[in-house]
Amino acid sequence: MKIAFKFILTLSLALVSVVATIFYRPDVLVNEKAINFILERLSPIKYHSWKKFKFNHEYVNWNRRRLSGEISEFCIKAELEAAKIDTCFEVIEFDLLVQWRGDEGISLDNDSYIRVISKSSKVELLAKEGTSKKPDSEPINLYEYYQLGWSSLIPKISLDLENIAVKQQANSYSFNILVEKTNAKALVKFNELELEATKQMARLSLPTTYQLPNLSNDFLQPLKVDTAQIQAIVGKEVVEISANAKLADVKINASTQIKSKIIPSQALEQLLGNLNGAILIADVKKSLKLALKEPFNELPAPFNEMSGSVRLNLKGNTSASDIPIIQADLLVDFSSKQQQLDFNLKSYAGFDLAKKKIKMVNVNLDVKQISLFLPRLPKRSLPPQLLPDGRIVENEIKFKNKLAQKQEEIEDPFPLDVNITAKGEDVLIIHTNLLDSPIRLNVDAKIEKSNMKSAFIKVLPFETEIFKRQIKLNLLEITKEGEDGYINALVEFVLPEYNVFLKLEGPLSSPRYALSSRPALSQGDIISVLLFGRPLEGVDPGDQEAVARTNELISQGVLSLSVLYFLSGSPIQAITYDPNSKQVGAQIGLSRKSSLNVGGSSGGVNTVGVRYSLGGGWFIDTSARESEEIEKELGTDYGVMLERILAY
Amino acid sequence: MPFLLWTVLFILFLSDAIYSEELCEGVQVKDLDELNFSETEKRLVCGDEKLSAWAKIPAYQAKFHIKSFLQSRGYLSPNVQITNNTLKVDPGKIHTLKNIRLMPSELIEAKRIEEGMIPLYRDLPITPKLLDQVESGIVEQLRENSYACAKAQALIFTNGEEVIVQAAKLDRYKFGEVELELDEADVLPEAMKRFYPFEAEQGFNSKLLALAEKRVVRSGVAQATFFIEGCKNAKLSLSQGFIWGPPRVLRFGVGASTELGPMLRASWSNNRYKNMASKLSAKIEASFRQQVLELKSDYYHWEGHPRRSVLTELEISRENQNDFEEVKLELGSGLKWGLDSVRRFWSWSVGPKFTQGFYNSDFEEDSKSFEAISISAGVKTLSHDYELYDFHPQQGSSFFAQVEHRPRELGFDNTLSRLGSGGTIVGKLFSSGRGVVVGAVRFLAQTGLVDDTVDLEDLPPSVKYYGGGSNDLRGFQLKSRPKNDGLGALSKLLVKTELRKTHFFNPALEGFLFYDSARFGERSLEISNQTYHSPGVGIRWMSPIGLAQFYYSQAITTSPTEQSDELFYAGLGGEF
Repeated sequence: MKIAFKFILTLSLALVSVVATIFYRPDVLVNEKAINFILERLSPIKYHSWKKFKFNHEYVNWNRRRLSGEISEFCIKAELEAAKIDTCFEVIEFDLLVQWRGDEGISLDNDSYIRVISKSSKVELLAKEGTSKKPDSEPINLYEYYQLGWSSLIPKISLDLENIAVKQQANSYSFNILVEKTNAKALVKFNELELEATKQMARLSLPTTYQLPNLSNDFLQPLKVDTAQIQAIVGKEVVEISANAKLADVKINASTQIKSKIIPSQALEQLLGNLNGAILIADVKKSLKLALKEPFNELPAPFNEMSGSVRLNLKGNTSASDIPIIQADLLVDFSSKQQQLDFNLKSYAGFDLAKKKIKMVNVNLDVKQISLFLPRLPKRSLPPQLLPDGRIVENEIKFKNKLAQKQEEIEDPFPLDVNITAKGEDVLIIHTNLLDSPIRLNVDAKIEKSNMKSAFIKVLPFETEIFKRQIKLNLLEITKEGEDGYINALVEFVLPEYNVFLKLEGPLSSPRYALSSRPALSQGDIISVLLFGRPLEGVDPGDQEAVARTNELISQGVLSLSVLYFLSGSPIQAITYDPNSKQVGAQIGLSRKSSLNVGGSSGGVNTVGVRYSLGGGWFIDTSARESEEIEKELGTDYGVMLERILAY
Repeated sequence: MPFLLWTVLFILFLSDAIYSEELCEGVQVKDLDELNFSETEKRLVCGDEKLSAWAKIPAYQAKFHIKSFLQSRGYLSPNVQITNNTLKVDPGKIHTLKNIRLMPSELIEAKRIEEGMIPLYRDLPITPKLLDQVESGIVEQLRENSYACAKAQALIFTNGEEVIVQAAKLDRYKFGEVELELDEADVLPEAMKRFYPFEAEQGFNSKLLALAEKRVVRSGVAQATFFIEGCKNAKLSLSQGFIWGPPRVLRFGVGASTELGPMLRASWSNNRYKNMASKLSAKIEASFRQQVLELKSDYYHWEGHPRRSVLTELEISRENQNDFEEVKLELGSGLKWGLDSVRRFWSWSVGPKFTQGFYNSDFEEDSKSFEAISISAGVKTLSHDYELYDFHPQQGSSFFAQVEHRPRELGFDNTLSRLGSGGTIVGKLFSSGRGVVVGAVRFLAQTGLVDDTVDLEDLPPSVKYYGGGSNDLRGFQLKSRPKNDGLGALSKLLVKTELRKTHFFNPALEGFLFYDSARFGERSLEISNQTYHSPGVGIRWMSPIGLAQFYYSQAITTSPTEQSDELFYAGLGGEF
């Protein structure tokens, strides 16, 4: 017992002696030789030197000591795990008044300061090799950490580090750091970036008209920031963060907060979960002009005629789910005299921050009003190819990478769910020169896990004049479930004496059609009544232009009759059938000498290809055989018949 | 030195001038004249003054469009640059197809499909439309081989001339049961079974679906029908929809045939009679050579046997040929069955028939009357490939055999049995240019078994055999052989051969060489030494109004002395 008491007493006295020695004679430890000795033995430090090393200590009071000194032209080369550093400090100067008080312990007097000046430094950042970060489970107190910077042990600091050249693999950049810290305020300048701090808050800001570094010389204009600020108010309970910026006429406002006592790995979750912000582009046209270079600084036609705003509201939410969810509402309001683009896109994105993955994205596109003009398309031929074909590949390597990526996407599809709805009389309107009336559409489409699940498109009834005849579209519905699309349509042709109905039904790729009429007519008569508005004109088979047009216009499985109606402006001369291609078509008269053929897959037509109309409801029929007469006695050809047909 | 400078400047100026054929302001296109842009295409590149929404096309969008337009012409690697907001376009070369490679290469059918498709598209400009055609052609062929849900994705690297087609979803399926969507039609599901050329357990073949559709439409039961396939599960789901249309059709018309002269025709049919979709029809047809009134009922009564029907026909006809004339009434009724095997359709019929009529010929101008009750039976079969063609088949085969027995005890003057058999085989031999060479053979063997004491003139023309005509022995006039003043023959042997070249300079033209040959016999089961040959050459045109054919033929008769004549024929319609 005695021995233990003696040991503790001896140890305590020794400790007090060391502390007293350091306090009263710090030069015992801090002197040129000792520092040199330590630096030489520190393995990361490869080189160090100084021109002048001065260290003074001064007795002020029994509990106060003044420590001052200066190291000039102190150069050091060090190789750390993350970086190689080669720097010289012109001046390191300090004047610290250290005091000890029973209630506060050791502290610095308010006038204490450190001043560091460096004109040039080189830093090379090294690539880290597979260092696994341990998950942190201990909370930290941001308030306490922040207040440490303002503790009585931190003196006034004046740091002026100029021309720090940083190299990271192929990239290199340089910056200056200026720190001026007093007891109540701090100002940090990192190039143009400015951080102002007090005991309660920190504000990071860019100077007005700050020019952002140009990331893409081909597309982006040199961008100047009008204002940009991030502010954090560090309270005992929460840290409130707000940001606002104005850039190329784009306004950004956001705020969020995190708890002051926090496990670091949960910080991002709280930041996202409490996010509340908005991005407003008041004038998209103007913003594009400011942000992008020609010719990319305007929207593509037909949108470039419109002007308007885009607003993106962001709101975080952690209460609804175990993962942070950000709700993003995109409000687009574009318009011109003729067109309008007004829709609201609401989306929810959930993040798995531990795996750094997006867990789900739900998008609801609610169309308020879209009214667009299609380009003027030809009435007498098929429209040109408008999009480059993805099957034609210029860069084989890029394509293979893309293919591999696509394969990955198939195996692990992006969790994107989209609902698109456009319901109502005047919600989605498409104008085309092919029709007198605009096409009014209703759409209800669902995408699940990036794949189209179902789609329903309904064209609302309309009346128009095609082919100089009045038509009513009574019904047009396209339904798509998975990969299969189906059409169901009923078109009514209003003629002086007859109403003719064209019924389309079946798979989208090859729908079947049927014609009926009120009062009832035969199939042939119906077609005749519909199509042959004038007597037949002669067709010159040698017309090279017509042949070229024929080849050009053979449609790819497009329903023949719809092609006839929508693409032709002239009366049809004949229904044709090519047994080699198994295509039904129609011959359309253009002039006395030329003709062209448009057609589509056969829709199960009985004797097509062997009927030729003479107008007025009469047909020439050269049918080879009737349906079930398979082995007729040999002998005669069929000949030519002029026929009228009535179905009832 | 100034000379060199001026030369360089001149070359620079000249190269720009060559380059700068201006499509419109800000768009310069090399070889502009060859590209022949349409007005719509110009508007999509240069802007449309008449439509403010499309008045201005930004250069990057114009670049996008012009690349598409060039692709549609086969220029797959154009050089399109935007310089100072000016679009400079060099279309480059037209890429033509040299090869098609179907992946995966382990696919058993890959090589065969490649070999079939390459000749069709070789040396054609590679355009998106051509890629579509290659894709759909391959999918179609895969779908004919049980890969019901097969997909194909074509690909062309612009540094090559080989179209690579990646086939996917290569699971083999069976047809399974068809779910019928009969809707408002008053038709039983069983009625549709007679149209299916496949069984539920049979491997999927898209051709057979197309054939089922054709059968329904040809029968007139519905105006159109379609199958909807579902590939979601391991099992294929197949449903059939219909566009019914009115069941009754009335037709009347006037016309002419090269061989029959002027014609009148009127017909009526009810194609959906009762809930098994039976067919009732009536037809009257008149030409100078033939007049026919025909009433017909094809009645499907048995729900449990949907391919069985009772076929009843009444036909009153008058036939006035070069050498003979005959008027007759036939009333017959019989049972008819149908059956589909994997590759063929089979049909049998059997039943009694009553015939009454009179006739005369150049040999004997006095009219002779006849009447008989007979039993006739027949079988016919045709391959599904053959049946798929609406007319002028290019592939497949058909055969028939018929027997008719007219016993004296039931009214005929002499007991007579007629036997007949024939067939057609058509097949693609090899590819030639864009088209194929098709070989076709048709044969016919017929005889009437009658007592040796019976003379030919004692038999009516309708039980005897004649030759000649565009669908028979092509070098000779209709029913003009054997040349015996209209007496006709009791036996006939006919062989027709033909070689066709499709896509003969033009996709709509077909050139053909033929050689027809026939022999006749005046006795049962006897064939004379006299042979009728008709070698010839012709062209068929798939015209907008149907098949038209023109041919020149020699007409050679071998004995007793060889006689030669020639015939030029032009006509519409007709069969091989």
